Amino acid sequence: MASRLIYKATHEADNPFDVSLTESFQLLESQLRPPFPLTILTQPEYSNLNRAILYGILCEPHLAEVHIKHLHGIITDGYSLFTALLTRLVDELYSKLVENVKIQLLGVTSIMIRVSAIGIDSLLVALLRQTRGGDFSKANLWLCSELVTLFSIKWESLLEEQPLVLSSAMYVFLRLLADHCRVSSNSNLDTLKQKEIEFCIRVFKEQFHLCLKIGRDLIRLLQDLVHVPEFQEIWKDLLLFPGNFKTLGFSDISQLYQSRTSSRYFLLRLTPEMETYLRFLLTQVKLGSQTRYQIWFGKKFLNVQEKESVVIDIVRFICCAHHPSNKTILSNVIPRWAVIGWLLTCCSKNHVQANVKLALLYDFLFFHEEVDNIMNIEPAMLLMINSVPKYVDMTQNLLEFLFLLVDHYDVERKDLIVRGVLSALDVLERKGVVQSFDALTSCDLLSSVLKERLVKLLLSKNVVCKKVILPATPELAYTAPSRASCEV
Amino acid sequence: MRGITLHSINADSVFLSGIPRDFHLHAKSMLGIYFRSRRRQLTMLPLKDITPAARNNVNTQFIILEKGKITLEGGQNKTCMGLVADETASVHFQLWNEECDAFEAGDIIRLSNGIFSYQRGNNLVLRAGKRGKVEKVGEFTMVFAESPNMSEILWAPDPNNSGKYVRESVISTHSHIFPPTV
Repeated sequence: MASRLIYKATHEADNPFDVSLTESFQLLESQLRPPFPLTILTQPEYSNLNRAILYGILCEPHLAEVHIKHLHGIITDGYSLFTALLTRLVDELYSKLVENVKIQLLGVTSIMIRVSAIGIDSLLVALLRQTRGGDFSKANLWLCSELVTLFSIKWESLLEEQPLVLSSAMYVFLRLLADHCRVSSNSNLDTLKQKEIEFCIRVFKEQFHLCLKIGRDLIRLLQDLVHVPEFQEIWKDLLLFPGNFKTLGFSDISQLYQSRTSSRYFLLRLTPEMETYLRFLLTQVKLGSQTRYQIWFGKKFLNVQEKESVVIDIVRFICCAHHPSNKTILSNVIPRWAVIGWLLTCCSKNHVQANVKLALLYDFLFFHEEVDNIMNIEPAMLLMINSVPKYVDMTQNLLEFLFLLVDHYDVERKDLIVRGVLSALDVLERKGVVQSFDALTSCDLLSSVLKERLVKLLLSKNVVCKKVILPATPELAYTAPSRASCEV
Repeated sequence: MRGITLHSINADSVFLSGIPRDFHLHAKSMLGIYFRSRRRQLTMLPLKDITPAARNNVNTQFIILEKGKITLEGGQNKTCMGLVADETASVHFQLWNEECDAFEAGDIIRLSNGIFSYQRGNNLVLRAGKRGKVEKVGEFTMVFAESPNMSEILWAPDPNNSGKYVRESVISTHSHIFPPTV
């Protein structure tokens, strides 16, 4: 039987999950009409019936009400299996689902929130991950709109049961807004933008503690929205009147700067497919064999102009959420810095390039050894060092940008940023990520102004950091990575 | 048990030789499911182990590295040459008619009952043929080796085994149609 759940191209193999749902439905179809039997089910029977009902809800909209009643009647596990099936469906098959199935899926998600299903947080996260920045297709904007509506309608119950999901949604909609606010308006998009803005402003105004949960990347995202009138007031409060948020313990924006953003937020902006491809590239593909994979990845995810803004999220993901094992670091697998070097060359627009560089260097600015991870700053430093001499423009460009950030990112809190950068440089040298900074300070190809600045900064590092003597941590056996040239 | 070895043999020939005809008709659908699930578990032949033969018996999985131009053969059939590879070797794969548009570089393909044989002149290619099947099973996540290229090996008839071929020499380490990308 042809699948009613997904579109299947000619010559595409059957999807095992689609087949399992379809087979369960076919097997149990006669039992899915009232009167429902009252027999007690064994575990396999229970799983089968969950799959059959799920298929029924998704593919028979006219009988969905009956199926849902049936579902409520048989559930003995707090809906945990049912939501797990839904989550898997979204992760594996969302982009292939038939339109009507997508509509049913959003409907049943709303019901799962109402019944406080176990695992509803994972399901909502899975759906959030399917929204794409820079994708202005009707289908994608529809999903964004459905989700922001869902989060707004279910605000109260989510706040009570799953407050962290609201933080996740906030991160996603702030990021989407950055893309949505960049294009010239049309009425469809304007309505969506307004809903997204209202949702985010509501979190800021009513539940600021949920914003604090995000950490420093909240500010990174807000920066792209500085021109949106609704966010100007938020900015003013953040910089001048932190008391207006009426949140105990919040007295200065630097508290946000100093709190590292959890890696789960970065995963929110990559589809599972993109994550799989990137992790494959970074664990299996050897340096020198990456060209074809880069071409395929670019063709699929980046080549359409508006879509390139996802590179910002990818770089943040690589720095902060994909930390290779020591075995991988010591192998000839393509290192993270080389992939980031390639990604930087994929950006054609200036504002995307600037944002990608910010994403790459962001943790330098606020680095604090006790809360931050050296692996988050390692790719940027290695990209700078290893690009000498063949791709010295890259080194120059990144170093310039780092100093630009030191000078201008937050003039009022420049001391804090200088301390962050110094502490980052210190830990990189002390832990052996770089043997020394001589490769930069004595590089003839770099501009002398830049070198002087770096030397001056490094001198002050010795003063500031000498007092902090920490034992070398054994967990990172950091032998100097090969100085292979940056293959881009 | 007979069933264990069934999967490597053409299903119809087994039915007709070993099982009564009416049983064949009766149980066709049930066995159909059985065979479908067996076929999924077929051991995949690494590309480095394929040898030219006039038989539809190559079961393997590979990733498409490149596709050439689509051409019309005999005025009506489309064909397209592709470079495909698994982690052991690469080979030239010929796409036929609608297969030409159904697959792209980066697609991971499962080939069942394919054939590796000479085509017009000395072109040694792998293809599905009339009895074989190609299906897309994934994308991207497969490592590959471009060398050796099994189409760039000179084979000679096996003196001890008629109808079989043995390797004589390597013509080229890489494909002459699709030069390696650096």
